[in-house]
Amino acid sequence: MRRFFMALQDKYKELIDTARNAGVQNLQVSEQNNVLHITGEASNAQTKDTLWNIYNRIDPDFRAGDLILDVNASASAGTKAKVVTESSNLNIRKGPGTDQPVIGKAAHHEIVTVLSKTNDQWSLIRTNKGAEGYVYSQYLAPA
Amino acid sequence: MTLRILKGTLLLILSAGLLDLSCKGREKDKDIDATPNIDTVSTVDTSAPVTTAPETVTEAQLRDATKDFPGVTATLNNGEVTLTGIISRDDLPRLMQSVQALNPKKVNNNLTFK
Repeated sequence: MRRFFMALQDKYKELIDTARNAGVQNLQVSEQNNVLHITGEASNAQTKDTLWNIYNRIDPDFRAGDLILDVNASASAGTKAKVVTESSNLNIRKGPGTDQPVIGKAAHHEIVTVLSKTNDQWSLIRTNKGAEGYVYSQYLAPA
Repeated sequence: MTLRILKGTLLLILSAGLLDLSCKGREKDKDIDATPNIDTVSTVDTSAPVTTAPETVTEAQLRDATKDFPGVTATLNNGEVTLTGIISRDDLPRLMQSVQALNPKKVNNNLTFK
């Protein structure tokens, strides 16, 4: 098992080294049932993108199923965040879940304030116009 | 003798003063640390499950994570996610980011490209 962990660490060495050099906070590398888990907090979206580009190069189209890369770059509570959707508006919902009604929209690249993080997935935000509600944290990057 | 006692008292007063100062200094440091500490607590929460017992991904979380990819079906089995269906190669990294952010045990990518 230990040898397998070493082999996986070796395979994704460039990824781990880049995360370390980019100053990813709380960086953890562990192995469970032959899957390597790399977790941490990146200070910006660019670092996260760089790591995912390396991941895609080492394991083309993410087919191997031997890595979970959970380095997020979502903005923390009390900070400003930028809406980083592909191009569309971001739904603002009444509660934390896609089953909750949409009560507003934040525009692509709009800057919003993160009031709190409900969990890993959802953040409570306020727009400059004063709209408040929950958005998917994946689409928020530190502004 | 009295001189020695005097000296001793002086030393005591001085050291008490120093102690007081150092305590005050520490109190200040604590205040400065207070804000980053809150961040650390929240991040520890997210990374902790990896080294200890992994949190199980829920169906609701998986539904939220894959909602923006209409051609994709995600199924959950013992904490493992299996992705089937059709996606464009350009969208794949965003989908994988969204799913792996749930920290599942494994992601089986059986998707085909458009």
